[in-house]
Amino acid sequence: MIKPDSHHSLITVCVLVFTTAFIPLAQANDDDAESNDLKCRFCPETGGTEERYELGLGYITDDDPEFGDAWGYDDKGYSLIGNAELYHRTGDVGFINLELRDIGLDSSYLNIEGGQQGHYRLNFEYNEISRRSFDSTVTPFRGSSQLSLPAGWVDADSTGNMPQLVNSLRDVEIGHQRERITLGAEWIPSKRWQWDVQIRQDRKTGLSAMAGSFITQASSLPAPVDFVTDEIESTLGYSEKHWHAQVGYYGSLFRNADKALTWENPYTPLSAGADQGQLSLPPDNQFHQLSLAYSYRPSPSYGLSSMLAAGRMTQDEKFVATTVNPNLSVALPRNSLDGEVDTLTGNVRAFYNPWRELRLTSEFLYNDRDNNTPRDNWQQVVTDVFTGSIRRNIPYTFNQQSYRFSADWKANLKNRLSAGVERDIRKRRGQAVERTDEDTGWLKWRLKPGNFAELQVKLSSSSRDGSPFQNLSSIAPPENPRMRQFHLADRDRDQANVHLNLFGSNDMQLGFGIAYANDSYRNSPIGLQSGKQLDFSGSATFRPKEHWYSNVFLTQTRIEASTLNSQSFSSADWRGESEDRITTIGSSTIRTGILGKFDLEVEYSHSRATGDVSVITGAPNPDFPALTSELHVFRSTTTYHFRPDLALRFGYWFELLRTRDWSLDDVTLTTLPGVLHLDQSEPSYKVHVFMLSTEYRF
Amino acid sequence: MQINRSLFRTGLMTMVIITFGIVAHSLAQAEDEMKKTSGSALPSFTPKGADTCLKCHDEDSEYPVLPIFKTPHARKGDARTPFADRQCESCHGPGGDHAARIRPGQERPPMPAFGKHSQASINEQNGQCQTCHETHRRIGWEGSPHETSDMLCSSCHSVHKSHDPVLNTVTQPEVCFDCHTQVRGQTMQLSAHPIRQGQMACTDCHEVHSNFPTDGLLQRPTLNETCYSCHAEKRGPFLWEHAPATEDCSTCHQPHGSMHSSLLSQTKPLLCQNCHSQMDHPSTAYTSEGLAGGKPNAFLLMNSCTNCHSQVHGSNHPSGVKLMR
Repeated sequence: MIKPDSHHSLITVCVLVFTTAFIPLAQANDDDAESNDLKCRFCPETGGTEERYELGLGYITDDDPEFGDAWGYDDKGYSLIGNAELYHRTGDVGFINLELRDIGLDSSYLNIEGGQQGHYRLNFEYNEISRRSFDSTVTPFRGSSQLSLPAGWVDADSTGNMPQLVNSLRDVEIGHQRERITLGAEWIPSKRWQWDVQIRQDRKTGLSAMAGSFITQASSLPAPVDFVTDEIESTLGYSEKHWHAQVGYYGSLFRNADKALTWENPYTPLSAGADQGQLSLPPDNQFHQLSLAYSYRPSPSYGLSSMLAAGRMTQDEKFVATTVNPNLSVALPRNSLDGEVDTLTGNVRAFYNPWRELRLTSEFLYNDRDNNTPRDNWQQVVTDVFTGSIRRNIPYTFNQQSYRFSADWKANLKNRLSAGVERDIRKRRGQAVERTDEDTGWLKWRLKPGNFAELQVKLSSSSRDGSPFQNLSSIAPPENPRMRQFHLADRDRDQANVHLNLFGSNDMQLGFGIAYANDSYRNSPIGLQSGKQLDFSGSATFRPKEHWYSNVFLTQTRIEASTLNSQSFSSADWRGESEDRITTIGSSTIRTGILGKFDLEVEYSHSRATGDVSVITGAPNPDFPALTSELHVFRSTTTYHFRPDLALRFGYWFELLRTRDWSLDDVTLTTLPGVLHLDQSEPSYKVHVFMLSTEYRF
Repeated sequence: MQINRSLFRTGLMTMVIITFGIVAHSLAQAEDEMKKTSGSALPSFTPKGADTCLKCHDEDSEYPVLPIFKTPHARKGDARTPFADRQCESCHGPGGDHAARIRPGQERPPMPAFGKHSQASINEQNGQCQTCHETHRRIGWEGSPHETSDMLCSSCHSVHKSHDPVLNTVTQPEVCFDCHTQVRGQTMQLSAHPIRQGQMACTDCHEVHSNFPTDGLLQRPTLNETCYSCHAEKRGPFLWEHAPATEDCSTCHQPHGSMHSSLLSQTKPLLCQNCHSQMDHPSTAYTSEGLAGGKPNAFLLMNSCTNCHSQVHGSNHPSGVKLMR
């Protein structure tokens, strides 16, 4: 904890939560609604089975792993289309559901659930997601967590001088497969009690790109990914007429099969023994959290809801050696971190309607991260090359408290006005600013002149001030004392949001939105100076009949940032500016029952992004070339129903992605003398997919 | 910048003045409306329940209602469901007037709730759902952003459809994008979570009924805890922490999509140089001179700062203070 007053706020939360929890216990009653004995002669039978099976083939015209990213498509050629749904309901409350998607792809999904509605439910879920990071990547390294270079490798001081580099390259696929298995259960022993549990195992296997370096001689390494995260979440809820309570437990246990990545130095060692390096891979860790949530609403005029969650993160993985350089032996102050972070999150929200048109809401949010990890002195060995200074670890602790008050006035049937004020206090330990206070005021007007239109305007303005900036002796070499990190810096933030919805006949709806945000950093001689974002969105939906839906949308975003920095370690002597402009348009139509036989779905969407970067130093350097990306997606599906239970489906899908990125453009394996990279290129592809399948419904 | 702030404050003041003007004007009007409505009484229930409704609302209705009999709401064996009670009128309210005979040319009175011309307020309509659904994971609904935005439960949920689209990972985003158009655009950017591909739903991160009353309606009590659900390898605690990453993932990342790799909010190295100004390479101005066609610069090209500092989420290596090990 940072300051004792944090405890006071917490105690306030606890007192509020628990005292209000006991008030209504005395009021508990068993006023269950009387069941009604209405018959229904015309109601369709609720029992029965619905089944849908789809089987077919897809054909992909090109090998483009980036296209397959997350979709699950692998290579050029044929793939199986397999989908199934089964819903079985008994006459009373029994049910079994099965859903199977994309069984022929690397991203597939299966869910089976069953039970007695209102009594219990069990479910099993399996899904996998295939992620591909780069189109084609190569590396001279062999192995998994112990990367070696091929026999005969001749090291050199730069990539261009490595004689065996080109001949030693092998293809390596950077990406991972994520498989998640979930077991769930829900039990409703009575109308008041409800219990559920979810147990998940998430396994992620594959390769990621990690950088390992010796001073400034770096290599991109294919690092093994073999992560398992086990999660368990369970809640027990109790309900009365006017209040509800819920206790919960959440546990997350992360395990990494590989503790370190060792690689052979492809460069000429900068010191004796620096012929290999070692990186630490993400350590095993755990998080356990207990939560209590509660709401009390004795009347529509006032009520309260609250939540309190206390958790603990721990990490005690055995450390790797300070260095693998045999000439630099260093003793560790401890064998493992014994890292421990206590978290406490709380919230109380109360509302009161003094009369029907006015609602007053007050809210308090509390978030504490108390890092109790021991501090020690650590002799540094700089990138396995030489012995550096002794550094002391800084376990970061922070605390956040937010106080909010708002009034919401339904002035009349057409106008609704809301206003609010907020104070957000953040305290940090180990950072350049120990405390920031941010005050925000906002105003919202909602006009609904009739059922044909709705307008909402929200303006807000906030100002953040911090305690005096302090130079941290723990940072070495020191930061420029003029630097103000933007998450700590004094800041003015103004925001405006306007939304207009128009509703026409035939269920036609038009929506327009403008959002503007402007951040200005007042007292930052160096660091981020300003950030602006302007968003525009427009959409139209048209649903003339139940069997016809069309929509079109447009979004535009402009993001600007300006930063100052100093290469002379004094006042600002250069400025960096960036401006991103993104436009997205799309349209889709779904029409079913055309001529009683056809269903048609057509979708087109397009996204175009351009990013400009300028670094202004006073020297005549041209601007950077624009970063661009352009995505076109066209999808169409036509279904012909031979019979009510049998259909033939044809799908065509086209995607085109083009990107330009100056950080990758023309960068060959030997362009950067000190970076032996994976030769990744800008993602670009053009793919056609054809699908033909039959669907059978029982 | 000063002009912008002045503009905003003027705007705010104007809004305040308009607010109080409308408030003052509406006070009397509101009281009158209250007086008018306070005397109104609900109609009676139909004597035969759904049998009455289904005489007209059959398979040929413009908006089919019968698929509800394939949903959990229609299971009479579950004592909590509408069909175990007043059937259609459990949710729609008493339909005595609506089902009564009308004179030729007379407009049929609407059902009290969940109809095109229903008179029930949003709170009253949502109250029908909350009677059963306020429990368990929805207890923070009152005062939550969706509630204060006057969202009806039926704005998102289609209870008459045999399979509610908002409850399915593949179809859910379409429902959310109806209002959150900007997010739809973000999910189509170069770097995005696999929402467009149907592998993630909005509710994988967001608890839209506000179970944990956090900013952003998140599934876990804080933003970082939400991210760690899938990215537990970044949770630590690490020996060497990167303070902004420990505090708030959104300091550097855009959650819904970005034109920059890894959902970063800005291109490197500028993103890093917003905070780092140490002597030598962290504070050097990397101009276009360092591009591949000029004097290729390792601090600018490929992965820029992360060509060496790859452990930006924290390092557990004893020599990892620079996040290079």
